[in-house]
Amino acid sequence: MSALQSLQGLAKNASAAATLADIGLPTPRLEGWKYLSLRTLENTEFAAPQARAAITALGEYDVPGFQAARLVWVNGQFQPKLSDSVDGVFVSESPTDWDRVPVNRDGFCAANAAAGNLIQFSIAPGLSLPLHCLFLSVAEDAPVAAQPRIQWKIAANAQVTLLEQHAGGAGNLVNSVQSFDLARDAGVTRYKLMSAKGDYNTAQTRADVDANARFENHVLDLGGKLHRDEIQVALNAEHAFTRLNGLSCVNGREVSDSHTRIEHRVPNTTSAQHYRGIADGRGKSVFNGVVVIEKDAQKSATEQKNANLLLSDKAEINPKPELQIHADDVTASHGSTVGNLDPAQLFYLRQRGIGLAEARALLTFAFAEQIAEALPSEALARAVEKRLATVLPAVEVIGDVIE
Amino acid sequence: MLEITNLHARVGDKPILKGINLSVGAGEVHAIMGPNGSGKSTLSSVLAGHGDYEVTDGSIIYQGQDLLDLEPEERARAGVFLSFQYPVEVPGVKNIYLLKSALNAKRAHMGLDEINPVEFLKLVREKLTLMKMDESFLHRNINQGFSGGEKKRNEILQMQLLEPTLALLDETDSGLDVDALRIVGDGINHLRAPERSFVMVTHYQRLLDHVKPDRVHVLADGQIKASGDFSLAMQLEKEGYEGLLQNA
Ligand SMILES: Nc1ncnc2c1ncn2[C@@H]1O[C@H](COP(=O)(O)OP(=O)(O)OP(=O)(O)O)[C@@H](O)[C@H]1O
Ligand SMILES: [Mg+2]
Repeated sequence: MSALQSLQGLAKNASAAATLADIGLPTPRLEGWKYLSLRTLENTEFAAPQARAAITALGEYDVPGFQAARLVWVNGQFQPKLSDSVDGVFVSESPTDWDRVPVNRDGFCAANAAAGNLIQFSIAPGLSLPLHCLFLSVAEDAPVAAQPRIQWKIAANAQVTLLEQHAGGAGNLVNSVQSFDLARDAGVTRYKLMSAKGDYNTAQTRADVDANARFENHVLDLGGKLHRDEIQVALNAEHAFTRLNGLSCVNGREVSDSHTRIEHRVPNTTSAQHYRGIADGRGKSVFNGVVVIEKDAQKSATEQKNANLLLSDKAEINPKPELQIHADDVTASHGSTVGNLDPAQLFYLRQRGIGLAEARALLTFAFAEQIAEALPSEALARAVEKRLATVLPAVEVIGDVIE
Repeated sequence: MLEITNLHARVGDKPILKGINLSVGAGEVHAIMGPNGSGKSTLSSVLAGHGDYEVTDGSIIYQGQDLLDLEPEERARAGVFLSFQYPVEVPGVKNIYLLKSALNAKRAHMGLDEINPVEFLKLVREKLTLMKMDESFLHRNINQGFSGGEKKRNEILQMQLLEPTLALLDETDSGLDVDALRIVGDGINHLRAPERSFVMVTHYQRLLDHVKPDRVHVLADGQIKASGDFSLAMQLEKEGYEGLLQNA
């Protein structure tokens, strides 16, 4: 059975299932999917998750120094028993679907809607708290389709730091859809830490940002079979702000495919993006960043930075910044580079006695560090640096750089 | 210490060094002066092993070994230190990491263990004091956002720590205010020793007032056109290169 047929078979929502049957899974003929080969995924039959495995030792996923209430999903199913309950965080398992991510956006969105796992978290006004959302992917009898669907309702003035961690990895499909609704003066700082290497991971995130509210997202993708991350942010009222940062390191035949879209819909809105990719081996890294400044969105500002390091001639990097500016009084900057390590920096380090391999490792680490050291959470920054040391080429020789 | 014979080097098809002969004895300080674009930095880069420059003829013997056989890091570990005319910024790498790895690379070469962290910090603090730099420089990225003068001081700080046998100082005095010039000058003098040699590229006599050279050379169009003692520098200050080279 193909992936598509198996996903249709899992559907609980008939109309979404009909849409899925109609549009099918994306193909490289679609502009937004052209660099992604889904061939092995398409030929995998995905079962419904049972999530019966006994889960223990959740503490091993903790990030040292990052103290937060824990919310746990196992193979896409929310686990109230494994999760902490927190004052001011309300969980609803049968909310009305906002449908901010249209069901027919693509086959994965349709499959997610069809699976019917919607859950909503509402954060009370003025609350300030960190949350650790752990998405565990565990092996079952056959590969399963884990399809969490989450709505985050962040009330006025609430400030949420959200660590979204993907761990485990067992050849499953983890296909998530999340919407964030940020009321006035609210703030979200989200870290998406990908460490489930063996999964197919597709994610669609949508954020609607009200006046003076802030949506910050940091994707930290340190390699995996297939990671697709798509984020859309709508800046809907004045002084709304978004920052989208990302780091991807791919090696072997890993794929990291990042797509962002920011819409400045009203005047005085601000966005900033900084994505960095490192591709080694036969890895593939894609960054497609669209910024739309609508006609009325005068005095808006956007900055987009994208830098890529190509470490092997078999690796592939496809950057595509796209600015669509329809207002005349705006500040916009963007830049995208693909290159190798800087020879002047290499020579400088070698002149100090540092060997070539170590100098290369050091500069590769330093390239990634530009994103890691800018993480607002010191604890996350340290954790990411430690992980970098395990995925970057030859970084073991510079182990103590991160101490 | 250093014996350069008939050295020719080029970048791409462009010849830059056109037969340099220079002999530097142990413990000596040599100054190299010369017009812009004459090849002074190229000479320093070739000595340090920069890959952009191709040596087409001649030889460089350092402490009895052929320097051209060695990779840049091997030269560094063997005691060749270049203070860059334009120190390179390395975002994402902390200064302290560079100092520590560089020192440990040299120690490994000498068959010594890695320096212990307490001893290292003590040593670095001592050098910082000498260079009148505060400790915050250790935790900044290498040269990133440093002022011109701070970068030069940082070069000499590294030299202090690494205690090279042959120090090549390429315009380390340029861009320094009078106080910084004295600090850098003292920093160099502090290291002067019978077994250590210096080759200083400079445009100004003022550095040479602080660090008295044994020999002064004038490099023009890829060759050493004149050599002499300290008085040659004074003559240059008066006559300029044009005047001096016409008489040479
Ligand atoms: N990598 C390079 N590529 C092309 N040309 C080069 C390169 N390096 C040096 N040159 C050229 O070689 C010549 C000598 O340069 P060099 O930097 O050695 O001069 P210099 O004597 O140090 O000058 P200054 O006093 O201005 O520092 C110059 O004409 C310069 O443009
Ligand atoms: Mg020069």
